[in-house]
Amino acid sequence: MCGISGVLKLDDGQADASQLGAMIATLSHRGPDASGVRLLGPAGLAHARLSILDLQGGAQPMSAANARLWITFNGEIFNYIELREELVGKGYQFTTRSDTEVILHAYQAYGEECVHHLNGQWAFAIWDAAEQNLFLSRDRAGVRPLFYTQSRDSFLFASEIKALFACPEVGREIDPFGMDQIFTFWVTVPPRTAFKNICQVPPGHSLTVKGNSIRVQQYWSASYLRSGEVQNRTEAELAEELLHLLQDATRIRLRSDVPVGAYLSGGIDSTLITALVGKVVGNRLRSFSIAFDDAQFDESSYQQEASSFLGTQHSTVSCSHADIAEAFPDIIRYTEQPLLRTAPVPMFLLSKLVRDSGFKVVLTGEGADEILGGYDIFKEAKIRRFWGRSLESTWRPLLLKRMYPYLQEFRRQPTANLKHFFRVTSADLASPFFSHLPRWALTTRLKLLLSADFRAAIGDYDALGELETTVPEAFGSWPHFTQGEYLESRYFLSGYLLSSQGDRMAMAHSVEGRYPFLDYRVQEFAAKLPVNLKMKVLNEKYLLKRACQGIVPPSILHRTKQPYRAPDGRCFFKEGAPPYAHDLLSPCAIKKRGIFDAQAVSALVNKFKAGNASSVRDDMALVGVLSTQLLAAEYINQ
Amino acid sequence: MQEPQSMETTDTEHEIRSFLVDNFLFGRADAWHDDMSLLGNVIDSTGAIELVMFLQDRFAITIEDTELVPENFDTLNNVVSFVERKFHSKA
Repeated sequence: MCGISGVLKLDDGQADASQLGAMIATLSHRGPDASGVRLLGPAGLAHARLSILDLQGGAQPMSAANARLWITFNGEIFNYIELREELVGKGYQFTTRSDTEVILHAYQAYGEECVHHLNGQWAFAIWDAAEQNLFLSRDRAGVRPLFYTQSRDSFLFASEIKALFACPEVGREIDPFGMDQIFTFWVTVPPRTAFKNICQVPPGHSLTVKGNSIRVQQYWSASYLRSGEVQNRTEAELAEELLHLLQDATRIRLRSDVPVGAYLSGGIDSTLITALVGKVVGNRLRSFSIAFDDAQFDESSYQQEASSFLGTQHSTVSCSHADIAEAFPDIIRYTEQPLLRTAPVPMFLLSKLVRDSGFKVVLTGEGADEILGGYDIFKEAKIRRFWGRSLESTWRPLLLKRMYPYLQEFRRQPTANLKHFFRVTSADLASPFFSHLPRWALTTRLKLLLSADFRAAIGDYDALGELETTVPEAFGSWPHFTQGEYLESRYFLSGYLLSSQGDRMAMAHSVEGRYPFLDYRVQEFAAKLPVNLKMKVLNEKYLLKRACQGIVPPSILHRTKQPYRAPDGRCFFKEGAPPYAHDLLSPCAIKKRGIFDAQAVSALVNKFKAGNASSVRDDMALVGVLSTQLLAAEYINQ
Repeated sequence: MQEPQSMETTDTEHEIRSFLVDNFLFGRADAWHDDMSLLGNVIDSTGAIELVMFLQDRFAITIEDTELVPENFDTLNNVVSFVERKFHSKA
């Protein structure tokens, strides 16, 4: 795991070492072990290295084909051993043991199609000096980040936006449309980011720059419409195949020249992955988890139970309200986008624990909920659609009460209110975004906080319209459950979970996360499964639970699912909280930045100060405003 | 809990409107209009309890779960009428 950056001059200029040096210096947290810069005429590549594979021989930027090809690479290619053998069979000669060199020779052998041969998590750039061609690629799920922009005379790319901002010619401005997306979907829709003219390579896409032309193309998307391929197989056979795939996905993710640990959240997914890791490494397994002082978020009893059952050496870091308030500015510096939740903070503390314990690599259960039917939003959509088939029914909406058992304030709501909030209209039923409409409706209300000027800048921009241009052509005719899965996997997973809670929080402490559920073979298998094996009636992750029998303790297998959450807005108003929240939310600071309405923010702040804020809406609003103010203070010049 | 006071419709309406605007619309009075449907549009998935708590505290009335129906809560007028009925029946 590393940081990468680079430049390609689009006029007749030459790449500049000082510019590349300034860019890569901002990414030293991603790669503290070494750094390198290579000038290649109009192109320049830079690399900050976290040494995990081939500690002696893997230095970058690296070349092949008599220095015709140069690469800077962030990530891991887990099938590099098999791919290397394949390439050796084709006559390619290797001088290192690294996966980096495997990519270079795969590119030589297969050109831009090389990405189809890779199983891993990556962001890389290859400069072909003979063709004067720059090729960028990002992994299928979007585990590793890759941003780019174009200035007057250069194309620039980097693992994090702050490296692009190290170039004075790159403008720093909040994108009103990006903000509108975040205050609707919680994330931006790639290629958009929170900053104007800063783009991201979407997951499963590559980008080529040749001459003055930039071409972005999709090379992978899980195909959800092949359920016929598994139709004649029994549940037992499918559960066995799922487990077999996860075992192999875990096995190849243990390839490392440094020790590997595992996160234990107390749920099924991470417990299964930890169990599978344990089968390979035996009694040397180290596990790590986060506990909360606030009991409503704490799952440490389940974590301890899983650790005891699996026999891991377990370490826990505890997170308090004060910790969240203390670390939040650091978090925003790393996430580089506004947040509506503080949940990345504990992940930041957890990666510090991992690093302080001498580990650089952890495996986690991320991705299972998206691809195997684990989320409450899938359940919610199923209930709403069931109700929608008989809108006059008085008992069908009572099922709404079955949702969100961990949210006390939700359970106390009268059914009449839930019926109206989750109401189903014929227009809703016809929408391909049916599953997410209530969530987005709730989030959209936060835009009432925006200032008149900022709302004018957004104008009549239509975030849903833009989203619609990015979904597959046949999306509207997909099975309803699949549409919801796609929205979670394609946008929220990479845009928030894998970035703000994943890559950014882990790399802040130079730790690499690896995700067996996001092995493309597992993803493609899951995409083929009939939806009733993912959620049987209202039983989430049905097939995964079946595959876990005997591996995961029954108490964890059958427990009520509790999504990972953290204390939100009130953390910033506790006695002894750091003063920055008060300063950044003051009418003066709000007016100065111009994004939010000072009066509306004051009303919100006063509600928190008086102890009257108790809703998800207020929490999201407070965290959304504060994180945006922090982001602007960190990255935007006044 | 505040002491219940004598009830004037305009005052009651003003207080409830202010609460709804401050609590659910972040004080943005320009986003409010008096005949808008509250359920689903103003009061969100967890907001009904906040409104009930406010009404009980401010007007010293007790609201039963069975009274949480659209006829009593779907518009500002409905809420005001409901509160006045409760208040006067109590007296």
